Amino acid sequence: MSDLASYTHPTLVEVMTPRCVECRAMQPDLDTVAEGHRDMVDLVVLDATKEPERAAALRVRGTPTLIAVKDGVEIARFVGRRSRTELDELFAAVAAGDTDDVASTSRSDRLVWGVGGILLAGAGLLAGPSWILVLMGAGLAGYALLRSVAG
Amino acid sequence: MSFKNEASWDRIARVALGVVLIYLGFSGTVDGGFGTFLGILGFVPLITGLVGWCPLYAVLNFRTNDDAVKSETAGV
Repeated sequence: MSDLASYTHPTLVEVMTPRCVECRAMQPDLDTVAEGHRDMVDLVVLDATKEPERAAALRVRGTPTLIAVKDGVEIARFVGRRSRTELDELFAAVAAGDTDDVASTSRSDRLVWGVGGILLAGAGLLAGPSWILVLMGAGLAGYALLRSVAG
Repeated sequence: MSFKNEASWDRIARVALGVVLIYLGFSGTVDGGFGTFLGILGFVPLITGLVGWCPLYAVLNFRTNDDAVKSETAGV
């Protein structure tokens, strides 16, 4: 991506909009964590309302989107609000240039999917059993587990 | 552009409610047409909880994950 080519230093590009509630909720944590990693990772904030062409060129489909850049090349992207702990892990991974172990989905998503899957599978077992519900629940919980392990 | 409008507690409550309704429908605890209706209806809160977006909230311009807005309006 030519737009990212100028970022030769490890960089995290945050694409946000002023009206995005999740962006505003995450911003204080993001600023704090970025300050702590200032020497290792640059944080670039891109307001999609002011620079819609750049956001479109980066194929951003939702905010907040965090794009990890190494040697001018995107190595990973993360959509949705992240907790301070997750941001700490993300900045450390970007600084190391290896984001493979950082989950691409947020912890809250994985929690809801995992709990939902287990409850659905349990309800399926109790209801008959209804194997379609068991399968759906197991699939959902398995997917949440997979996203936790595989990132 | 951010699409989620539900807080985590809201999502988990919806998922739990959905699973209970689905159980009532599928287990035969509530039988007949109403049981089937409950079983199908249960997928609505289940799916909206899993996705984190409620279309009704969107229409009413309401959200439960508005902690940032509350902080700003309270002058914190």
